[in-house]
Amino acid sequence: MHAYTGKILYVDLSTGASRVERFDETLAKEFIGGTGFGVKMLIDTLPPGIDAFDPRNPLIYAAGATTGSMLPCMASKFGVFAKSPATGLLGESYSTGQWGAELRMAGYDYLVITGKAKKPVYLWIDDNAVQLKSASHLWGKTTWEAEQMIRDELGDQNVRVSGIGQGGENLSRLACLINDHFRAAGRTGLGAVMGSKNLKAVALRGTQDVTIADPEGFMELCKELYERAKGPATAKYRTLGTPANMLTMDAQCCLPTRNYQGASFENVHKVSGEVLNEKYVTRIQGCSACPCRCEHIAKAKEGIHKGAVSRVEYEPLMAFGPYCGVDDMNAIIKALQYCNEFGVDAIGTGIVVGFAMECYEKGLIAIEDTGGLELRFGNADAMVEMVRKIAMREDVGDLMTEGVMRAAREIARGSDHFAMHIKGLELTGYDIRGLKTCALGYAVSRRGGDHQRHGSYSHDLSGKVDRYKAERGRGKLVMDDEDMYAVVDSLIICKFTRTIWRGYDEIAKAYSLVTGVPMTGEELRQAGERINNLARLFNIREGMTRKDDNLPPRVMKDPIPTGVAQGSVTTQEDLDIMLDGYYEARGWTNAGVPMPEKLAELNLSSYAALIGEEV
Amino acid sequence: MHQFVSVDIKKCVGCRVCEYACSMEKTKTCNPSKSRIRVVRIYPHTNAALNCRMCENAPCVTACPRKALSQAADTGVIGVNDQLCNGCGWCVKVCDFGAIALDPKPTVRICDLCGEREGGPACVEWCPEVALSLTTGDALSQKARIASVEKLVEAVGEGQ
Amino acid sequence: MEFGRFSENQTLPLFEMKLQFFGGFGALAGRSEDIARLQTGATLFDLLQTLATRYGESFRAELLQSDGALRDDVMITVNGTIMNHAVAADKALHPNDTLALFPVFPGGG
Repeated sequence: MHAYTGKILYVDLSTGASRVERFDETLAKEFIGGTGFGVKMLIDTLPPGIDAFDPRNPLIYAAGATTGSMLPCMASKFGVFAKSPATGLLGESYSTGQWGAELRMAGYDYLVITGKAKKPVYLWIDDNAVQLKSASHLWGKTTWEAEQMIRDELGDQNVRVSGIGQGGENLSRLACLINDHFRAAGRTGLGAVMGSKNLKAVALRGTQDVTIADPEGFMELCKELYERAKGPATAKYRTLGTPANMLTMDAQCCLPTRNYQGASFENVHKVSGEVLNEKYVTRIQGCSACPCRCEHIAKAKEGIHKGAVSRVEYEPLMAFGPYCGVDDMNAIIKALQYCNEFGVDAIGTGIVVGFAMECYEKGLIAIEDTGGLELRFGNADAMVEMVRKIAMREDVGDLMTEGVMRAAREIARGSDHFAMHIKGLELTGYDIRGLKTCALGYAVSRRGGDHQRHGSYSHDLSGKVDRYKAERGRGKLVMDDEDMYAVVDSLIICKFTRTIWRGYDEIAKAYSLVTGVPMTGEELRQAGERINNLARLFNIREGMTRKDDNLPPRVMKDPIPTGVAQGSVTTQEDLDIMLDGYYEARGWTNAGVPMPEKLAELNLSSYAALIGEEV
Repeated sequence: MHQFVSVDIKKCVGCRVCEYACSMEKTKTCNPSKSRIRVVRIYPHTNAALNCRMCENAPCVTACPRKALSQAADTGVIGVNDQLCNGCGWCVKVCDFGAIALDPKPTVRICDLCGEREGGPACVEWCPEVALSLTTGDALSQKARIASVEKLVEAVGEGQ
Repeated sequence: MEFGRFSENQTLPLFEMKLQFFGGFGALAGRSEDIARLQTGATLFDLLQTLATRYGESFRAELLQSDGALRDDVMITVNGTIMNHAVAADKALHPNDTLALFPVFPGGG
């Protein structure tokens, strides 16, 4: 095999021991890398039913199949996996930048970290050499400080670091893993898993070759893909970027505003992609080996938050802008900087602050709880300070850091009605009351409330289907989206550039050129289906049922109040129609359980015990 | 005047495609640490790719205690005699640009403008931002002069 | 801006409608709004083809695929209602209609 190192590094933090195991083409062909590798390793190594903070919960890093190569837009990403502290189900998150390629060059495709260190440590992988170094002096530092201190003490400014800030140390269920300053493996609380192990960071240096099976064919392919990646298909990401979604979503009443009380924001023009680029973006830079360069770096211009700097995309901009009723871009950038420094998920934290604001306005929490903050919608400075309180577990931040599901349980008094989560993971930037296909995607997403496993809003917004109508046939659309994205998240292709590819066959050819592993388009598609089925089995094993494929009460009962989508809700009835269609398309029972025939078709029969079958 | 590959720091986005292109060209593998051009990124967003400037009277050549390095008179490209190089690293120390690196053989890695490569240096060809160019010191200063005059004209108006 | 559908009958009355360009479309068209004057009977597809020509190659590439079909990742609304690309050929336009073009960002963010 090429590109793949074929090596898995296991590290036990309790004993300090590490060992290397190898894998071969069989794993690569069936599970590819990234998501596929992560889900497979997790289901095979996690003891069923344990708590996410149990030392036996493995924290798994998996490189994409072509990570570390030069393949355009498919060379920089990695995934992180564990049992999620937020959902108790599959925790998965992806990041990019420079760390992923370095993992491959350091000699590993996979890291599997178990146990718990007696005192804070960081894992230092210097090509194949593995060390656990003391992190006592790093504990309590932000992710940025820790990375710089690690680089300084190791004497190498090119050391790549993926690690936690105070959020992860404090076991916030919103905690994330930050690498390369601005990039995050953001969702499902994996930063807290790292923190629960007394692990501060994973630092890498790699100088080994990432070999290519067919170097000449590869360079020719790269040339072709570069042209496409620099062309019209990706132009919008390289210019305004995803924040351009703000005006689009607002115009179509898909923009969650004030904790989903509304679906459009009256001050959207102050927080649009246009304003961001015109006034605040200082530079657009790139990830490893990518010709696209789409990382919009913005700086706060004035006021008390002047000088704050962050990468800004649509989702976090939505979460700290309209979602909190805030129209002050300077404050939004500061909130995002805090998220990066303290290591908490920007999307989730914004949604949690929005929830807290509604609780405050309804008198369910008071100024004594917020440490003196008037936590009303629109109070930008209170929002910023709330991010810090959440990361530090200060005042009501201590409760909110548990995520909206748990916070609502504690607060009670009807707050669960507007706790916007699915399976314990906060919702994201598409108002699914008026986007029916997308609503189904969110309801069934294997990691909880999320658009990234399916992207099914594209059907609703392209006009190909009636966005306001729930139909059985949406199930197949979401299934096909999910299977394609499972392939994308295994290779790992940057979703911003997915449209430069002309189908599974072409992607399979590229994969084989790089890795030397034979693969057809159909095998690739089937791998995606296999991965989604295995993920479903994992979640079922950890206690998920059909009733967890649900929607928040507000989505089902509170109609969009104004605008073109006025009156829209997605009811339980709507959901049931679509769920029935989805399960049927998937070859699952009406309870959402994969059937034995489907498992056999996908070569997953060895897991049949999980559905109550004889193996 | 010697030609060398120069980076426009206003255009460089730190994507490292040049590093990959160089390592593929030289070693047929993807390995930025074997690249002769290396990217520096300083947070939040300063990026520059640096390589050998083909200095006149190159300090690395002078510093080598074993005279393992030589400089071609016409192109200024630094060559290394593997038989003589012992990997001591003095050349690395004296280079202001960090453009020369040790290779375990022992030998050194340094930009040779891709020698006979059709199309010239690989990094220049591949840079997605057109931030790299094969140029000379004279050409760079001429560019700077022209740019400053254009700025002046814009400020005070033509024909002043 | 004035344009119409070529037809043998040059005496078909013209009507006006509004154009709105969001995201990159605005930059590529050089404006965020415009007025179109069309001949009665012009369809949405006619209008889009003409815009693609009117505003230049980069605008065309942002709106249409290389085979001339509408790009999947473009949202088109007429009077706020999202248009199914497949029916664009038949969708008739009327005086004071508003057409809006939006980029949609598949995947991520």
